[in-house]
Formats: sequence, C-alpha cells, structure tokens
Amino acid sequence: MMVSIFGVSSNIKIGHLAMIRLASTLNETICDTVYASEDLQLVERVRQGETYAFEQLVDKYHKSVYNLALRLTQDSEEAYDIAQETFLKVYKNIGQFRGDSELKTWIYRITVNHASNQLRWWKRRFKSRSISLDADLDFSINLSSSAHSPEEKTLASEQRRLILQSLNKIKFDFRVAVVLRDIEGFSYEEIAQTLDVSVGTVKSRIARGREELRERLKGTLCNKV
Amino acid sequence: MNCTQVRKNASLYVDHQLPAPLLQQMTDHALTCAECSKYIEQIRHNIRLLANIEAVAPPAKLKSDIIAKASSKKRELSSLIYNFALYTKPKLTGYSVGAVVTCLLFFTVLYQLKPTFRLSKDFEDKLIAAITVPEEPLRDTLPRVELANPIVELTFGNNNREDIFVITEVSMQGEAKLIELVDSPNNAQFENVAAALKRASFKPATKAGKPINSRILLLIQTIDVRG
Ligand SMILES: [Zn+2]
Repeated sequence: MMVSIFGVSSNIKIGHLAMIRLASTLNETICDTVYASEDLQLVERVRQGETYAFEQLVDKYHKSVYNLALRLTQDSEEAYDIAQETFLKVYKNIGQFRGDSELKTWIYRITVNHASNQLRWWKRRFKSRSISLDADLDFSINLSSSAHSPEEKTLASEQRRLILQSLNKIKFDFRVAVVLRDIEGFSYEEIAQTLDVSVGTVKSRIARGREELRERLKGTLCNKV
Repeated sequence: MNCTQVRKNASLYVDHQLPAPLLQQMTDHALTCAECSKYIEQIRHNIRLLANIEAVAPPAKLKSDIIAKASSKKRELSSLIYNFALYTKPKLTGYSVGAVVTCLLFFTVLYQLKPTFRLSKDFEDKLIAAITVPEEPLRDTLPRVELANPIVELTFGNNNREDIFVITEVSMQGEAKLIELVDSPNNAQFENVAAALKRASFKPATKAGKPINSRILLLIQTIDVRG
C-alpha cells in the first residue's frame, strides 16, 4: 500500500511532501492496528491464566509506565511503586478490559490514577529536597547526544532540569495532559481516551498547562528565545 | 484577531489543530506582532525541550518484582477483598478526615443546641408520672398470728388470770420461740407459754417485702370463755 502511494507521488510529482506525510501516517495507523490486535491476543492469554503472557505484557509496557509515572511525580521511588501497583491492578482487572480502548491507554489510565492518589501527594509534600536530587540524576544520565559543545550540553541539561521542575509545579490535570502530549507524543484523541474526558477538555488542559509552564519559565534559561 | 485571542489559540496552533481560516489569521497576526510571535516561539521551544526528554531505563528488578508480586497475589486474597482494598486505599485518608470533621461539627452543633433540648422541670415530672407504672410499695410488716390457726391453740393453764407480756422471737420461717416473760409474778408459766407459742403459727415480719427474724412483745390476755 505504501509503495503504491510513493509510486504515485513520484510519477505525478505534485504534493510530494503531502503524500509522504500521508504515507507515514498510514504506516503509523497500520502499525497501531497490528499492535492493538497483538495486545488483544496477549490480554486473552493473560485472562486464560498463562503466566508467560503476563510476563510479556509487563515486558512490553513496564518501561513506558515507569517513565510516565516518573514524569508525573519526578520521584524514582514513587515511580517504581506506581509501576508495580499499576501492573498488579492490570493483572487483577484484566477481565474487565473490554478492548473498546487500546491496552496502552487502559494501562496509562491506571498509571495516571495511581499517580494522582492523594496519599502520594501528601507523601511527596513531606519529602522535600530528595525530589530535585532525583530529578538531577535523571537528566545527567539522559543528556541528549545532539548537543555538541560541553557548553551546549550543560545548557541543555539545565534547561531540562528547569522545565521538569516547573512541570512538577503545575496542577496535576494540566501536567498529565502536557506529559502525555509533549513527552509521550499522544494524540488528542488518545489522551481523551486515557483520561476519560472529552477532546475539548484535553485541548484546554494542554493549552493551560503549556501556558503555565511558559509563565513559570519566563526569564529563565529555558526562555532565551 | 487580537493578541489575547492569538495567545489563547497558540497551543492548538503549534499542534496544527486549528481550522484553516483561523490558522491563516494566526499566521497573519504573528507576522506583524513581534510579541505574539515571541509567545508562540516560546511555547514551541518548551514543547521541543519536553520532546527531547529521553526515556529512562527502569530499575532492573522492577519487572521481576511485578511478576513475583502478581503470582503471590494470585494465591493470596480473594479478588473481592483485594478490589475493595484497592478501591478504598487511595480514598481512606480523605474519607477518614472527612468523617472526623463531620463528627466534630455534628457534636459542636448538638452541644450548642443542648439548652433547647432540656425539658422544663414541670413537664419532665408530668412525663415521668405518665410513663411510670404505679407499683405496690414494699412495706415493712410486723409478724402476726396466722388467722387460719384457731386461737384456742394458744390456751394454756393460766390459773392466775393475769395478763402476761412475753418477748417472742419469730423466725423467717414463721416459727415462734419464747425468749422471756416480762414482769410475770411467777416464772413457772414459762414452759406452758413456750409450748403454746410453738403450736401457734406466725407470719414472719418483712422488711422491704422480704421475711426477716424479729422479736416482738406479745400481750397474752386471759379471757374466760366458759361462762
Ligand atoms: Zn499580538
């Protein structure tokens, strides 16, 4: 299918870029569909009590669940606990997964619910400085290789630290929307499905989250544009 | 389109989520307004920063921890209890704080209203009188000779025709025992009176409805029934 589209676009030589974009979108859709049906099979096997299937499920999603939890809490211990609880809940409630949403969004929804837990919020409040230390560790390890000079690397690292610190300060609902959109790269529809809200709400939360982030970063290293 | 509207739509604009006419208006405005252009660029810049945040590798033991916990959970609780715990756990603090506050408020309000609830003394007395079932008071009684017992049984050979005072003990069971003759001219009567009292039947004295041992002073009068 992709090949034929490429063929058409190179023959006619108009809207070339548009066509390539369409092709890549189709490609994504096809991949998503494949993943979705794979997931349904996996879910079915877990339901039937196949231990290995659950291991596969954990293997496939534990990294993204851990990272989402980490971005929402900025605390690696918290993220670890949330990831554990999320998968235990997935395991217990797999029978309730009806397949009308994607497995990924279902798992993410559970993760977000666990991260929004009030108890955690209190715990985090009393945990003072360890959070920012944690966060520092994360960024230094994950320095982007695209930065060239040591100065650029330092700047990039500092900007990331600042933006994540600010992200942690904005309202939880806005933070979730921004994390899902700008870090996880979810579409508006996927976010709506994950959070069980309307697309309109998603748009407004993302806009308000981004605006708050911009406001907080005003005059910092992140805002030297 | 003014600056406020541009800023309101900036997020959707950078995500290519605006319909064509709005998109054009935004672009036109940004071309002429340096401030808005800067604003949009700042939003874009932050999005780029966020997009460049790389995923972190989770701790190595996370996966095995999850699998171990899941298999132990399988054996552990029934799913009903487990789900209930999971359902209440995140809400427990909120609920308990709420419950405590509600109780405190309730008692505060109740305490403030307490004088209103107090009945007038008069009304209270009437109320108590109305709801109390009147009951026979348990009176204290003195021992007395049973009516069923013929008085002749008490007869004895009293030839002196004098009245005699005797101190008698009446037991709980109603048995009488002569203790002493009071002011008697001759003590020879003692045996006769004692024997007569033994033949008589008494009803014991009572205190608060219960039979007790008691001592009484009996006056024995001589009545001539022959004539
Ligand atoms: Zn403007």
